[in-house]
Amino acid sequence: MIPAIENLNKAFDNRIRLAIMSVLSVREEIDFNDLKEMLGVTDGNLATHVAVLERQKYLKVKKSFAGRKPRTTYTITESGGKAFAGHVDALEEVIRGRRK
Amino acid sequence: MDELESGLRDLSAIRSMMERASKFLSLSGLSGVSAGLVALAGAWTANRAIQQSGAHIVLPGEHGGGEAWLEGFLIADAVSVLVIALACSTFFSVRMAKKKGHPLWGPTTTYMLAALMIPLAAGGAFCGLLLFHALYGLIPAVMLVFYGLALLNAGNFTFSEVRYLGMIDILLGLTAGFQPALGLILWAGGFGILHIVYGILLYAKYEK
Repeated sequence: MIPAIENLNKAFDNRIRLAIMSVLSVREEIDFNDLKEMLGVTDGNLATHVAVLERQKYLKVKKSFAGRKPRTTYTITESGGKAFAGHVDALEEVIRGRRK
Repeated sequence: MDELESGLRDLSAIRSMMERASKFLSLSGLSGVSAGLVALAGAWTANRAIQQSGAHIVLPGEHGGGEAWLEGFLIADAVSVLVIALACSTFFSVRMAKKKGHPLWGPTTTYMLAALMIPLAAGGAFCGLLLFHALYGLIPAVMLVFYGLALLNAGNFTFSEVRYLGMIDILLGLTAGFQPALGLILWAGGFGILHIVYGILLYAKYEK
């Protein structure tokens, strides 16, 4: 058993959650619709995965109004940023270990 | 699935999402080529006008001679080049966005344009100051340096190769500052030839 595999974060074993974290790691904030378009997923699908990440406290949800329309934006949290960076490191470890 | 393969796949997915979220990726190589051709035409026109009016390149503190219409003509030439080049590059980038299915106007467009336009506007204003003080010989140098800085900055929000183009333009601009007599040629090199070469390289890399 290669130890690095255990360092992979279970929260990110889903491709959509991984994509959400990738986007949030380079953007100050992003709103629901932009994120949905970028990922090419349905409303319900995005909402489910965002909820998982919010429960882990990896992202913060902010609700506001743009004129009359409600607008939901997401930002990455400090612990989310650390967890994501740790996951990327672990991925690299796995790959390095396998290449030997 | 093999862990190596799924790990590699995840990393490349992460990388491409990060790029799409932070970079304007619809900048077409053909934008560069068309802007370069327009710049060459503009430089050729300027050169002919300067020769016809009998002016010589003006170093700071010198009087340039030549006919009175020249200044107005060169300003009109430069502004036309800017407007036509911007129109062409917008056209090709919009076309590329449509082809690749990118949104035409997203936050990354705003980031890229702000990064580009702020140094560019400062450079434009500075050229206005040089005109005001009749330091015509330094204008090509200043255009190149500020445009280079604008590209260096905008390269953070689009294909990063653009940053090297910016650095080369800065060097060309500084050279033109030391050798104002070569100003127009260096200008044609930086805005014309380099745009065309870069445009072709970007096109070959991202649009083929």
